Amino acid sequence: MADAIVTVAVTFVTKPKPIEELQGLVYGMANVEEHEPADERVWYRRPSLLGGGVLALVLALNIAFI
Amino acid sequence: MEELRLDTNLVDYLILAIYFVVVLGIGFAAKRVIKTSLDYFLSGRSLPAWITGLAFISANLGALEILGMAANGAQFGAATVHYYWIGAIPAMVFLGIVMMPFYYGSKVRSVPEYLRLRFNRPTHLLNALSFAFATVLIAGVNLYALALVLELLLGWPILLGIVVAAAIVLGYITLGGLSSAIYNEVLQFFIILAALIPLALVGLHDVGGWEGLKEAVRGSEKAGEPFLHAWEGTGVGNVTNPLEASWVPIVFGLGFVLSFGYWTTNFAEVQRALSAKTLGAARRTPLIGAYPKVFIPFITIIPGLVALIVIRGLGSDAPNMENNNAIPLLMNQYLPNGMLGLALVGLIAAFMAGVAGNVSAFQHRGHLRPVGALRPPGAQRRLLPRRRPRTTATSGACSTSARRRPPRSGAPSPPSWPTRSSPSPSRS
Repeated sequence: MADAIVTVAVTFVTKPKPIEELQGLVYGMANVEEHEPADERVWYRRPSLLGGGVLALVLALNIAFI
Repeated sequence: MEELRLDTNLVDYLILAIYFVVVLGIGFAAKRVIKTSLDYFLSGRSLPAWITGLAFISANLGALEILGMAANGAQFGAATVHYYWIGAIPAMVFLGIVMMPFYYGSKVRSVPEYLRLRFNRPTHLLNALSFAFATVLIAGVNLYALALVLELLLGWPILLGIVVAAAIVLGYITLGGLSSAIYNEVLQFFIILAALIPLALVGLHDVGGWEGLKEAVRGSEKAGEPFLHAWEGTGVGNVTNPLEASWVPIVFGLGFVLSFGYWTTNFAEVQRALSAKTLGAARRTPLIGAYPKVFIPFITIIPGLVALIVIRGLGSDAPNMENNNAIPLLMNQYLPNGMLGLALVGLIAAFMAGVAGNVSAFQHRGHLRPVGALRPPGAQRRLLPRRRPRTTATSGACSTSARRRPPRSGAPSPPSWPTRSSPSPSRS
């Protein structure tokens, strides 16, 4: 709780970093690899699939051991 | 009181010796390919995702974790799964999908370095110092705990245990840098599994299989039905589960605050992902690590529950009967010579994984002073530590790093470090 208050307070009194300097450093401006090798695009290597799969697995196990 | 000294013989010690030789051999093998500081600290960003993924999870699978989670299994039962299924997996998925594009994509070599670019130097310093402090403590705790286990199980004096374990960990990290630590972690991962899976299976068989275990847990006066459920009895205002917590602290405290804070910023693990060969591989690192993580509770909690049933007096105040000794006590009970050696190696491997993860991360921290503002693209090779690389020595006892110091003065930016086989100045 104190942490949240300090975080918000500090955010208001400090100057934000100019947007030009944030290239590659925040989610919205991440550096994507220009030429991604073709074998990176195979379906079983997609992060969303791998991540979704493990979340589904955990959900199923939580239900099994509820 | 149960005697905890393991009945080891020559075969067990032989297995232990072979393991130590292999570990150092990996260090030597990794040393041969090191040419630059990027090689040393980030394995040259060359590793495939399955290697970094297993190392990611192995760096987390320290012996404190294994012994502690088995102890939690004996004390709280099935609710211990929350430390894995809600306390780790969602944050690991978040790290891979949301955080990794800008961690890896910004080409930083550490989380504090990222904070410097994203915010400013004071942030970098604060994070680096607090991280270094925590890391030294964790590595030290791991080392001491290993020495305690060695004393308990083998009768080695504490000091001998600390010195032997520290010398081996520092030996292979100093030799081969992060590559050595990572390949060793992959090996340690499989050894830990090879030690714990048989223990869980033999224990399960002894109590009459899964149904037998459930029956025995229900009948036990220390445990009972609540020990078999993760979520029952976690309703707000009606908390009856062994953890004595409602779902609010489990989901938001453990699952969100603690877990996201730990998994997305803990450099000992994130460093493994930063050394992957492509952004895709870096993103897959925590995701691939998440799959084994889902199943690790089965080889920690089940032995914990079996110990609760089989070891009389576990969790009491009698000497050596703490819950933390659940796994060593089971090893003593079930494993024949040879297997005992393997399990011992598994435990030692787990301790060394915990120590090595932190030492290599700390070492990394020590070297990476801010090296100027944004560096020009494609110039990574020249971004070398200006300071003499002696953090390994400071973070531990012995070090061979003295041998591999870069030239102290003269060239403003040394061509490459550390290297013995390729002094080619033409590279700069």
